[in-house]
Amino acid sequence: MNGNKLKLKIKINLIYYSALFLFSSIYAQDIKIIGVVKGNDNKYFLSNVILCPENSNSIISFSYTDEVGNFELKTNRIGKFILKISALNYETQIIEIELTDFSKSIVKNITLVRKAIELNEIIIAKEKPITIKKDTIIFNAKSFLQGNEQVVEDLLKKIPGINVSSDGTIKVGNQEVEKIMIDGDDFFEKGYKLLSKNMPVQPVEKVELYQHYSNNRHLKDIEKSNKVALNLKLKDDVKRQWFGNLQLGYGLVSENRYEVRSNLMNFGKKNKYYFLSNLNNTGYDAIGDINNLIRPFHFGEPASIGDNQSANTLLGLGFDTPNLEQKRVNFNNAEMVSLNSIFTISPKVKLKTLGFFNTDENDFFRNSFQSYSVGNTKFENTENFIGRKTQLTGFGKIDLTYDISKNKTVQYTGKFNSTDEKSSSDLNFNGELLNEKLKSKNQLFDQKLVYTNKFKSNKVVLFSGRYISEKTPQNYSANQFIYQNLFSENANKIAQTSENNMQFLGLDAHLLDRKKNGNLIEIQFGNQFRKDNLRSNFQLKNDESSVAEPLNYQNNLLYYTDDLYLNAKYSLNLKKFNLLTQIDFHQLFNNLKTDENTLNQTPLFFNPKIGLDWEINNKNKIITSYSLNKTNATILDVYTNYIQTGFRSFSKGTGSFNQLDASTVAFNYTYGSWGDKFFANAFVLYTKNHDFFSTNTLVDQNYSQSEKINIKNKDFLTFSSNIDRYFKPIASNLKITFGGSKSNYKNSVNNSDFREVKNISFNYGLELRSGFRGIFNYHIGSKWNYNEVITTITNSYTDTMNFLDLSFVMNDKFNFQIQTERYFFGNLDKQNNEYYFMDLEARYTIKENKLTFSLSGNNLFNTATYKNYSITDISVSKTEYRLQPRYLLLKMEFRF
Amino acid sequence: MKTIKTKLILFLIIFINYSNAQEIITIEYQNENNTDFPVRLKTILNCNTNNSVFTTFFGKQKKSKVSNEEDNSATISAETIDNYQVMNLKEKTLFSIENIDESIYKINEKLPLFIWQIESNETKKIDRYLCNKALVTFRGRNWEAWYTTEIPYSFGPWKFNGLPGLILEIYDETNRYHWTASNIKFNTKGDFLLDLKYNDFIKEVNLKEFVKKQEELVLEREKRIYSILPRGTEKVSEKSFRKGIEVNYEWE
Repeated sequence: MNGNKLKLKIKINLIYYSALFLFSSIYAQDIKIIGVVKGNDNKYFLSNVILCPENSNSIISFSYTDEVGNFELKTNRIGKFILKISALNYETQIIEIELTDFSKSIVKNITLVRKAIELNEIIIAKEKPITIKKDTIIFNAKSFLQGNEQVVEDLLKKIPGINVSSDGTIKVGNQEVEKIMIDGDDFFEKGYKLLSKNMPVQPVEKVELYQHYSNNRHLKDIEKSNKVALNLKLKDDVKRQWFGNLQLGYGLVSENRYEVRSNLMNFGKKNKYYFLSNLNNTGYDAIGDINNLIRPFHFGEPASIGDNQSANTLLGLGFDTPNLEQKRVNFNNAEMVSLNSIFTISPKVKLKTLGFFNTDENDFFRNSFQSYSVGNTKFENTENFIGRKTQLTGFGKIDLTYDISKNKTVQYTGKFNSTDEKSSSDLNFNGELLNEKLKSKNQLFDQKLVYTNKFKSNKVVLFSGRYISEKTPQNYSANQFIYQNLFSENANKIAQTSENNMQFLGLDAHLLDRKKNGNLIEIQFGNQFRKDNLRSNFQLKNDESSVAEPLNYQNNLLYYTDDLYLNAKYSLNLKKFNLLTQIDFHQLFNNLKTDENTLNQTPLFFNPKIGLDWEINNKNKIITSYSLNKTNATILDVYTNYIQTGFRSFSKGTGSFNQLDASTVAFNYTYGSWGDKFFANAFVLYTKNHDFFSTNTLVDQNYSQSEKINIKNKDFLTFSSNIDRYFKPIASNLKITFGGSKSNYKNSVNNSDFREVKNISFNYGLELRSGFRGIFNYHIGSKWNYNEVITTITNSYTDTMNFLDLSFVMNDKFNFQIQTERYFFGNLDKQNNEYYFMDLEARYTIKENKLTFSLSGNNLFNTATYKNYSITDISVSKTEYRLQPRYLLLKMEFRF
Repeated sequence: MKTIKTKLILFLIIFINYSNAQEIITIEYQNENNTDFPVRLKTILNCNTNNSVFTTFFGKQKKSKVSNEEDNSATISAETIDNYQVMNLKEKTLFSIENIDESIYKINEKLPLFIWQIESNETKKIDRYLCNKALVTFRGRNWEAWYTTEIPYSFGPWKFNGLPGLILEIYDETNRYHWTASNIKFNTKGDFLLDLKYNDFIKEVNLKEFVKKQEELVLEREKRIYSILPRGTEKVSEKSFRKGIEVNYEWE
């Protein structure tokens, strides 16, 4: 290179022509055809000379003329041929020649007749195997099939631009697809692998790739979306066939362990069926398989009115589990079957149904020791708890979609749920045996109607209406009476029935207007009405007869809230800024009816919010927001008398209306981006509750009775940060995390004055993970967690978690991983403060997408129990949980 | 901070010189380019007898790094400058202008020899032109070309050359790369001059050096991304392959 500027000049000189193009085969015995080509205007020019067999367009030899029109052409064939001479702006000439003798050269001089090209420009239109429309790319399956494809995944692998990773994840570019639909219908959402790995490829006619995909097609180009989705168009004459897969797992050298999962599908042009089942006792939540079918979660999408409305259950038996993986702590026996169908009734009407039954039996084992210290009150409780829960759920859902026209759609969704739960416990409480029984039910009936009208290409309006009715009756009894300090009656048992019956009716109109410059205006107007009926009846019993129904422990109230609202939202997109402003006006009509009196209230208020995203440059980004938020009290905040919520806890609401004010500031700073050599992120959130619900609690060895009170000022500050730094010499990434939170509020215990409670916690961690190209990779790390609660006294502890994961990918067919973990609790005694876990997962593929064997080893160190330590403002507890013992599960997965 | 944009100002100027009545034709090809994301790119070939300049316009592709917290996915695509392939048949030279991240390279190589199989009876019409089929295997891909002898220039998209006529359509057997002529302009008479102006960022390398640089970078990025993954995500198999136009090279 010379200097700062490098100039390259290519000058075309018209004098040079050369016969560079003699690429046809040249043999020892060649016939030469030589000659000169010139125009009838006596000019020389570039022309090509082509030798074709007679009556054929195939070419056996060719040559170009040089600067003075000379050409030389060779062939090793004899017979009758045609010589074709073409040049731009001259008429093509065809000459018949016969080649007979290898030793002879043939001379042909040719004069071409000038004929200038009439058109200076030619525009070619042509059909292609790939059609690209705006945001939609259509691939003709036929053009990409090579014949050895079995399942849809095999086809997708052949389609350019679609990448299928070895675990079946489908990406377009580097982005995972949102879902794979069949003729626009979808059962699986992100669980699409079930489809792509099992569905035969034959029925597929076209693969459509949607960019900037929106779940509601009318919101396309209006909501911002980076999503991509695939759609498989089936052939019109598709033959129905059943297909699916089966996974069978059985425990080796351990007690009876099993896992069975099956998926069965049948897709036709009109009707589509998907049948699945899951049976296991390995801690796997069977409903997890269909969670996305029950509640497709589309965060922030319009027409989500009522999504946050549900009835409350008040009492639980303390079936809590420690913060470990479910497979370690969940003792279950689950069975689930589900049938899903889609019926295309007419081109405009589609019906989607879903139903499932689920039964589960869960066992809980917990021993805890709690030491309370409040002022002068000090006592200790031990609880040895064995619990069992059996559950039966039936669920049905119907979606009916009617496309009135291209831009208008009506959609109806109906849901029904019925859950029956029976729980019991054997509890040894300070040496006393307590037997609890709880029957819980949930009945849900949910109807939603949404009308969408995209009345302009960038404007859409949605009208939604929803009615929900849900009730949660509970029946509780305990065969001991331990509340002698609360009640003077002579009782030996207690019982409580309670029920929250909720009805919701919401109507909403939502206009979205995406301006040409990218700015979005949203206006939402509606009314949400909710009626809660909360009843509870608490009885003291002597054997089977009721002794007393204490006055302050009975509830029967009706709570009506009606929220008439108008929300306006404007998001302004500038080059480097994105400014979001929002204001929500609410006119509430609250009405609280108890047996004694009726209260009314009609507050009017507004909630403002402002947010700013600022991309300073490629490396530095800031997201920040401020909001002032007033929330209305819920039924759980306003009920008037005590309700039992656990075997030794009672609580009650305020008995009056409250709206709570909170201000929130959030700030996020990002340096670099994910995948850079250096990437850092820091997040800070501060919330000031101008008023909040605190508690006034009476604590006694045998009960704790807490009452909500409305007081001022609670502060909450939280921050988190992480740094990723990649080190090239060791091909590993170091991750450092640091975070913490602090809160400050006041409460009252045992009728004390308000006392200040401070919670402080910090966590920090280090991780190192390799990105080696070979067989082996490691991932090692530690996390520390510090907690402190300060009241009049200070309690604190530090826990540590370390892990080491090793991964071995021997080849495409065989791989295995070993994961080890260590938990350390700083405040537990030496015998019980350390826990080790090791798990193994090995996988051997016999035939891809056809037959795979895998082996999981769970809890290989056979750690039997796990104890943890926790603190609150009134107590310190040590809780020991039983764990799933060691087992090996051999699994087979095959496609049929 | 200087962004890549300010560095990547490249000018391509085609001067028309009427004093020389040299025929230049300009062909626009639609390119379905499917290395990562199916995209349609505009490409233009300017050529005469011995010289060609082929340009692929990446102009609109912006550097984008989108990370999606919902599903822990990240999309990283680097900015690509407009690419050029410049050939001179007489001097048997070929060079390309491409970039790796923020560096621009002038990549020199010997004019590759395409061993075309032309003896095929298959013909098809593309618009008014009768096209013949030719097959070639070049650097690991099998290509199918449709060329017309009615336009006697031996060029085509990218590095392709050496057929007895202009290539109007060419694609590889997996359809990952596909060029189709969409517009042909004749009689753009004159000289043409490729004038590349850039700052001192341009580096002159040979193809072998360039490929090595490129692969090192991809490998490094792959390692980095795997090593940043959270716990519980496992790499279960590893297959790395070239998916560019050139899959293998003569020296390998």
